[in-house]
Amino acid sequence: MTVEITTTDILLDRILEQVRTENTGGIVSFVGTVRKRSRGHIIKELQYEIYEEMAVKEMETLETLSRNKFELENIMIVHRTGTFTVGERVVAIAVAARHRKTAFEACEFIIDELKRSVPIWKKEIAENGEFWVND
Amino acid sequence: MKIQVKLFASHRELAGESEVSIDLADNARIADLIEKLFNKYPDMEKLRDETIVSVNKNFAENDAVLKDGDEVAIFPPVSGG
Repeated sequence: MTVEITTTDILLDRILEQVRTENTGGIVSFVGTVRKRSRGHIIKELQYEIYEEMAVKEMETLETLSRNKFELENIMIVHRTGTFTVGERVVAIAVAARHRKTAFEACEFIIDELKRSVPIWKKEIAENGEFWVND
Repeated sequence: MKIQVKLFASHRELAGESEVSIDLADNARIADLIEKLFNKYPDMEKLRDETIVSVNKNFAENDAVLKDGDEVAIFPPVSGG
């Protein structure tokens, strides 16, 4: 599976090895982590909710779109679901390509598109209340 | 026809349920479903401008026609990643 929704921790070494092919010259990865301050709030926890069947479908569509747009050896997209504290890893994207320029561009494209199109929602559990992130 | 509607995030919280059944006339549109949903859960009215719909796991527009057995989901703008 090159797209995954999981509850388990994101292990980057595993992802890098899974995505590498013998023609890979560069692997670029992005890891999204929970940060302490967001939109004026101090975060205690982030809660993620996912419409799983549609999210997997959209992530697969995103993979196809990316492979059509960039010449890639491999892609992996992993998003966790559940509740996370500051510092935890929530999402990982790894892109393997023959050359690094393509890998960098594709990785940025994929996370930007994921944030726009995949049915996942996050709720900030902050010191001063709970807020769904809608922007 | 009866349409099963999955709710997520703020819509789910306001309804207090993650899935609801909505009765609709044949060939009803998504706009009709949304009106029935907001009638059933008046608190959801404040989310009207932030309401997005999917049908059979594809994003859909308000004028799309529904058919019996469609899987509909209603939710706010996504915020993953």
